[in-house]
Order: sequence, then structure tokens, then C-alpha cells
Amino acid sequence: MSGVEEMHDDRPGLPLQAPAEERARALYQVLKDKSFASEGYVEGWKKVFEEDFSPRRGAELVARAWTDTAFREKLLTDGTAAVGEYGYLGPQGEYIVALEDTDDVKHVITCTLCSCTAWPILGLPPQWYKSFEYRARICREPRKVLAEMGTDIPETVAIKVYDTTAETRYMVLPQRPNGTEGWSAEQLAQIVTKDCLIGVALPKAG
Amino acid sequence: MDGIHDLAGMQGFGRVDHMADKDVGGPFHHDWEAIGYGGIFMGVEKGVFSIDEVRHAVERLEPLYYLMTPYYERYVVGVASLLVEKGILTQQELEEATGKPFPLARPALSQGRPPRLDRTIFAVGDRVRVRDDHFAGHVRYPAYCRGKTGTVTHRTSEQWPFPDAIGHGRNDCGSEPTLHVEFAAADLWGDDTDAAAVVVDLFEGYLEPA
Repeated sequence: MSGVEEMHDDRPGLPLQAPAEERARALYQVLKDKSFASEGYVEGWKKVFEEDFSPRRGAELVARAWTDTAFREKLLTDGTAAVGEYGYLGPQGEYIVALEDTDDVKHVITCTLCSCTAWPILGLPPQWYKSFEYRARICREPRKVLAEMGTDIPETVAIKVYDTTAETRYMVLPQRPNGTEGWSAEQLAQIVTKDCLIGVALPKAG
Repeated sequence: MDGIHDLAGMQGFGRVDHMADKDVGGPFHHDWEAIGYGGIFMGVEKGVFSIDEVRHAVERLEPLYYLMTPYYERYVVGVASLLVEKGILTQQELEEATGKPFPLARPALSQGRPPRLDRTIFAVGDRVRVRDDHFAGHVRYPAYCRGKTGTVTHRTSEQWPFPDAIGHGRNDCGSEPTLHVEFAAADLWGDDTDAAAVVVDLFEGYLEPA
């Protein structure tokens, strides 16, 4: 029961096909040959995805909300207007709702059907967020999933999971941790990570 | 469409491969991975398809293929499938370019459907039930909430085309607000859950008075 031969049988699996990279590049080339795609089109978007869409923007919004009561109120009642104030609305981030964590409730975001995320303010979703494991488990056993990821939520705190199934795009407004009294907005933004904005991590003062 | 993509609540998956706040690098780990997403914007800008049709095309990948194929690759195949279906290019052209088969999504099981004419208007605080609806085309309600009762916590101030229509490239898409409906987790999974609640963003036409 060894050897490569035995590992190939007629069980169903992937069909014969070129590697993913070859197929992707072939698609782009055929579209360019037909002048459907302009030269540099995908490269231009890639730059936007990598450089403009960033969780630093979401962190900036959280830090402002932590230090400015009026802005906090605006972010929680009309997230779109608050984000628009910064010019951070964009594709997959045109109708924004911010979810406020409290002493009693922790919010977590998912997209169980695909990968929907507030791109312009959270950045494109990371691989783990798009994984079958996260999509299958997070709605049903969020406490266990978060604990496995290193985030323990006390039993006294209820976990509410938001499934991104239509056009609303969410961000979590986490609680400001103790030990950050007197910090500037810039300092505060440093501790608000992408995972804090998704809801699977808590900001840490130290 | 009760496809394999509707994963929520499914049991047997292992750990999520991530520790909170661990650096995972940029959104792309290989240059080619941006081609699927770039292709989405290209098709939408040129009016060839909607982003809803892209979601549906990926849902139409053969189930085993879906499960064994990484994320960005699914979108390359989904976009390629739509471009073939819309007559922008042919599967033969793709296969000639790679010299190998280029498997595409399976054909749609439905022509889609227009929005309901008899939808009820709901407000924050209303108790609503997700219609006990079964439909082979594109929908944006996960099966775990079908037939379940919850409470409206938000009604959107904007409206969008009905996914079951625009996801099939139909013209009769109308527009509807969506409602954030909060379900007690116990109403979804009994005792077999550690969540308190799940909130689903549902088009109004998916709902009926509880």
C-alpha cells in the first residue's frame, strides 16, 4: 500500500485543466486580444486593492469615534455619512453600518455565502475570512472559533454575528481598552487592527 | 439555490487557519489572483454582467470543483464562464490559449424571477418570518434562516435591485430596501450553538409578517 500509482484512481476530483495561473493569464490575454480589456486594466485595480483599500482607514474612523462623541454618534446612526466625511466610500463600501461593542455584546462580521467585506475601509478580506471553516462555523459557534483564534470572550458577553448577505457593509466599533487614557487619535489608531474591525480581535493597550 | 456555497451552520470543518492579529500580508499572494476581481469590474463597467451574476456563476461551479478550488481561482472561472455565456469569448479560445481543458460553471438551473408584487413594508421592531421559499436560482438568504422568525433592527435608507432577478441578468429587477433581521441563535440551531444572535441582511421580498 505504497507508491504513487495507488494514489491515482477513478474517484471524482478536479478535472484535467491547466494550473490556475495559466488559465487566469489566458483569460486576460484573450480579453486583451479582443480589445475587451485595455492594457494595464487589472494592474490598475490591483494597485487600488493593495494600496487604497486599507484597514488603516477603518482604524482612523474608530480612533476618531473614541475621541469625539459627536462623530461617534454620527458613525453609529449614519455610517455612510461618517465614512463619506473622510472620502472613504467606494466599491463594496457604499452603505456602511458600524456595530458598537458594549460591556454586554461583542459583534463579529462574516459573509457565509461568499466573502462580502467593506473593502475601502477594512481592506480586501484575508484568506482565513474567505475560508470554508470560517464561513461554516462562525455563525453557529463564534465563541469557540474566536477562542481558537486567541480571542477569549467572557461568558457574560453575548456574541452577535452579522452575516453580510446584501448591500450593507459593516465595521465593528470595538470598546476602547483601559490604559489608553489621554492617547492621541494617531496612537489609538495604531492599536485598531484589521481583525478588530472584523470583530475577531480586541484592541490591546500594551 | 441550495448549493454547496451555502455553508453556514455546516458541521465537521476544522480550525480557522488564523490567529487573531497575525500578519497575513497583502490581499494577493500571486499577481494573477487579481485577474478574477479585475474581470468583475471590467464586465460590470461594460454592462456585460452584474456583480450578482458573478456571485451566481461561482455558485454554479460543480460542487466538488467548488470545494477543491481556492478562492481567487473560483472567481477567475466564474468570470470566464459569464464572458462565454454572454458571447464575449468562447471556451475554445480559452482552451486554445492554455492547450488544456478550461472547465466552466454549470448552466443556470433557473431563469431567475422578478421581485414579488405583494411584499409587505416592514419597520424597525417588527417581528418577521423569512418566507419558506425554495428556489433553484440565485437568492441572498442563507438556508439557516429560511422559515425562521426574527426582529427587524434596521431598515436601509437605500434600495437595490432584487438579487433573484439581477443575478440572472433580467431587466425586471425592481428595487427593494433590505432589513437587518436579528434571529436568536437558539431559534436557528437549538442548544447546539454558542452564539447569542445572528443578524441577516434580507431583501424585503424575502420576508412576511410573523
